[in-house]
Amino acid sequence: MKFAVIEFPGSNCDHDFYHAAKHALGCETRFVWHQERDLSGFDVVILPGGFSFGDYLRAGAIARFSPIMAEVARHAKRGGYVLGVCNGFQILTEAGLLPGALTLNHGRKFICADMRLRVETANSFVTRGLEKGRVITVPIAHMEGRYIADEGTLRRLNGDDRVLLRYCDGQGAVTDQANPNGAAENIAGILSEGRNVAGMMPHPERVVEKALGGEDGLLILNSILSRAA
Amino acid sequence: MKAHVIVTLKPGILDPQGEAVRQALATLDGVEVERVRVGKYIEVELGEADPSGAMTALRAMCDKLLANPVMEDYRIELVEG
Amino acid sequence: MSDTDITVRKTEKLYEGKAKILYATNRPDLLIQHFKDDATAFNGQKKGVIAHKGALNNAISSGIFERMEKEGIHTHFVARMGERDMLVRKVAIIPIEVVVRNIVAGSLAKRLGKPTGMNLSTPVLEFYYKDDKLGDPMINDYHIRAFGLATDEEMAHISGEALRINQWLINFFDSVGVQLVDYKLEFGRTEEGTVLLADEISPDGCRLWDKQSGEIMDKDRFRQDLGRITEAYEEMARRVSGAR
Repeated sequence: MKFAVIEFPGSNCDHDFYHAAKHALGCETRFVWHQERDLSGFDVVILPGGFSFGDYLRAGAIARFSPIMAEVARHAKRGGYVLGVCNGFQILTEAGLLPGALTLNHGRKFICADMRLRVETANSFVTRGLEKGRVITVPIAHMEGRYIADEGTLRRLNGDDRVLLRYCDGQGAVTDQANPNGAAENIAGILSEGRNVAGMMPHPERVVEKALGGEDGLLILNSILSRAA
Repeated sequence: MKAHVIVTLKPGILDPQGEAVRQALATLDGVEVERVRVGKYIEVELGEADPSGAMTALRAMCDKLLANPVMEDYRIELVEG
Repeated sequence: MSDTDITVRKTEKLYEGKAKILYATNRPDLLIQHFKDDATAFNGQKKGVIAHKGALNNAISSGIFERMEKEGIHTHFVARMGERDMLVRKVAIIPIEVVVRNIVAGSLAKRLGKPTGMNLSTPVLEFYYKDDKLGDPMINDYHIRAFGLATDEEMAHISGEALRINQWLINFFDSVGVQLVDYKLEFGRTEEGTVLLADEISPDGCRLWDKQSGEIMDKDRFRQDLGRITEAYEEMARRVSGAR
């Protein structure tokens, strides 16, 4: 599988993802500058975390007008995989490739901490190596990660089994105490209607080897490879 | 044509920033502040000469970029020149 | 004025009414409607000032017109301009006030001896001849035809629009917790002969009751000296701007 890691001005998890895809997964991986317009030949497109365009106006609002985003949308339409993490998730919602929006954490603080996450579906390209209900530990690092959507959207996400991950406690209980940012229904990640576009606030690329403090991120990234095998 | 665009959070959307401002205001002496909502104010200058055309363009700008319809409302005012 | 002029500005005052001033602009097809704080009632016999009313009525009217335009009801509204001004298409106002009633109140209660607050089984349209000196007397289709105030075709259009607007406004106000009791509409003709909803839609010309408390949210607070007048207009502006 060939990975493209999109770089916007202000992306800062691009190298982490490059390392995770290239060295931890052993896949061919390239950086793609946001002004490029071609993603042919790539299987997986990563929108990494960071502060694209300084988060001006709203996180992800400017980035979604970068030339590469039209090609990301075409890649998604062709059925190609797109994974947005953190700022990448924000960009995907701003671009309308995923529903809802991400806004300021209810506690107003930038939160950088390990999170327990409950896998809500195994029917996705980022969780198919996991079991539904499994609790994994992956860090978040954001200030604008409160997922919001209108009732109809939440109903559809739940009904179509498109919620990927929810913040939970160590026992896998989804509680208010376990919700770091006030996200609707503790949602930490979702899938598109076609199930080939995923967005999540937690950073799997940060926990891909023991030296980094954990390997649960590999469970997610290895899922991407598993169909190819 | 010049315009002012005011973007506000939709009612019902929690505004932690507004709440922080309210708490800061509460430390000032004087009137008690019940609620604060923080929005954005944007000035736009257009080459468009026709006010109706300018409004159409401004609405599109708001729908596509200046506001996020999931959580924000906007208001456009043309400026007398 | 030239084709390259990209500004709009007031040129001369065309008309000063009780609650608004109408200005010509450097654009031949556009006027600016300026909202004042002055309030009058009982055909000018009671006069006063409601603080900030001009700005609030502009906010309320602009908010409603903007939504109507989006949903296919044609009005003279072009844009809000600053706090108290509204940029509008130039129309010749048809000298007929169209009153739409959903609930018995005001002169209808008095004239027909019906209890205020009674729901009407069907909306009632009334027409009044716009003339302050005469106290805006009530007229009917025959007067309108006989004095050539509007053509039959225009009146059919106006009545149809008034009922369509009524349904829209009932739903709109209901969504912000307000009962639309009755109100006044004015229409105008563009140079091309299109008839558009004109004037304003504000608590100056509507009876609005809070759905829950029944509290009066309109100019009746001024007419009846109920106090907290600005507060009621402010509450209406807040609800209109917060509506979906």
